[in-house]
Amino acid sequence: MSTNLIKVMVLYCAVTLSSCQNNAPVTSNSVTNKDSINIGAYTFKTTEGWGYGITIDNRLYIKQSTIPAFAGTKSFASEKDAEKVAALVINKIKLHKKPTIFKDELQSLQITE
Amino acid sequence: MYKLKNITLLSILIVPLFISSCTKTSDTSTDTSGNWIKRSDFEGITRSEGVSFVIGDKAYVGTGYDGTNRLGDLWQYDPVQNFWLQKADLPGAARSSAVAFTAGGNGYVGTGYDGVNRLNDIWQYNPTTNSWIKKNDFTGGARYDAVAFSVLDKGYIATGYDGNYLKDFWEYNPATDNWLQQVSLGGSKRSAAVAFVYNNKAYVCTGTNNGTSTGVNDLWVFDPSATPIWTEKRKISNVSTDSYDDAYAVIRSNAVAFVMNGKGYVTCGENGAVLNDTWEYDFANDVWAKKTAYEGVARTGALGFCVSDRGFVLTGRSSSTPFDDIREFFPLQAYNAND
Repeated sequence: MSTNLIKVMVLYCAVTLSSCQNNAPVTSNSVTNKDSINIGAYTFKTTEGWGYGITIDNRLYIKQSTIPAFAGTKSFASEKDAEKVAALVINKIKLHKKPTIFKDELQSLQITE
Repeated sequence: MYKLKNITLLSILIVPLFISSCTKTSDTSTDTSGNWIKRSDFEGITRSEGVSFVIGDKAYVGTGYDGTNRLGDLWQYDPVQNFWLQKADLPGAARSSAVAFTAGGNGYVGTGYDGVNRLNDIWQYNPTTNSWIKKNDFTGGARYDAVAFSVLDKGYIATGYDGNYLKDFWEYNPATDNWLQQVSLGGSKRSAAVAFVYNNKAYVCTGTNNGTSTGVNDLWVFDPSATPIWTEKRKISNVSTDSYDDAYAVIRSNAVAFVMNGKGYVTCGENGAVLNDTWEYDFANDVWAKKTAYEGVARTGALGFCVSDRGFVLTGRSSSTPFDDIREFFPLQAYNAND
């Protein structure tokens, strides 16, 4: 009986452990084509606001704790703002563009310097 | 039974440990699925003719040319955690073939080409405030494909192209924001050369001079405490009757160079074709040794930097694009195609 219990426990721990190997949010692993990469995003709280992370194949690629392109050290005022810009970065990468954000793109999202 | 109790107790202790280790209370997921693209279509921070500078344990990469547009963005690279962070845009013209150096804890970016004009403006980047300040223009005149470096917290710009190939040499004092002309390099005029600094001396070599087929083969060292300040070292091509230089093929332009573990490295660039062979310079003996080639695609107009004795080579261009955007550089390791 105790052996069974150990087995269950080991299994449980392994499942818990494996679920946290991805630093960022869970992404679909249904596609395993080596010619493809998987792009993910998440938001995180900073001292004074919000930032976002972009993952490539579940590895951190961009961790944006301040507003890109703008001078200064301000974070995004809201999680919504961080999400909108992260979505913009993902779209750029999907369109085979650089992940660079431009000031006018932030302005069109009502994010000001 | 006693044993079972122990296990139960242990599991109660262990399981929450695992759970707490992966609870990122502040991180929430947004757009996470269905974002697959072909690996070859991943563009990254890709560019050629950009600049890089290192402040503390972070590297900065900015400006350049992506094949369509000149760029004015700036990215910070964290080599320990291996991620990028987009910083404040350069307020001046987006540009390629600019130069950068670090002095007094700030980065400086200047000169270059905006697609129409050669440039002579100089910008100071403060990493603490993430902001740029325009400094006095470079008095050496607008140019691109110069080299820049710093020695003992003074900045230097040399060589380049202003309509003619150049070999003039200028010193920048960050305290007074002034440029002062110094004695020029000897030897060839050149553009798209490299500079690397070791023990407060700067080494300038490679580059192109009016497309001469033989290439620029002289190597000069700048020592601000010496008279004269420039001394020529041995040639970087096979010119001697001795055997040490028989295999030398260091000549190239638009290469990258940096110092790591007490040795100078020159890699990538072009000399008729784009290159990825790597040469190591032994400062004490003034000799070059061929090392393991850069494992990425051969490229020109790339960037190289060294942070905490780890070298990186990134971006650049060749006939086939795009590249992996950054690769750590292991000149001493045997080649392994699978890593």
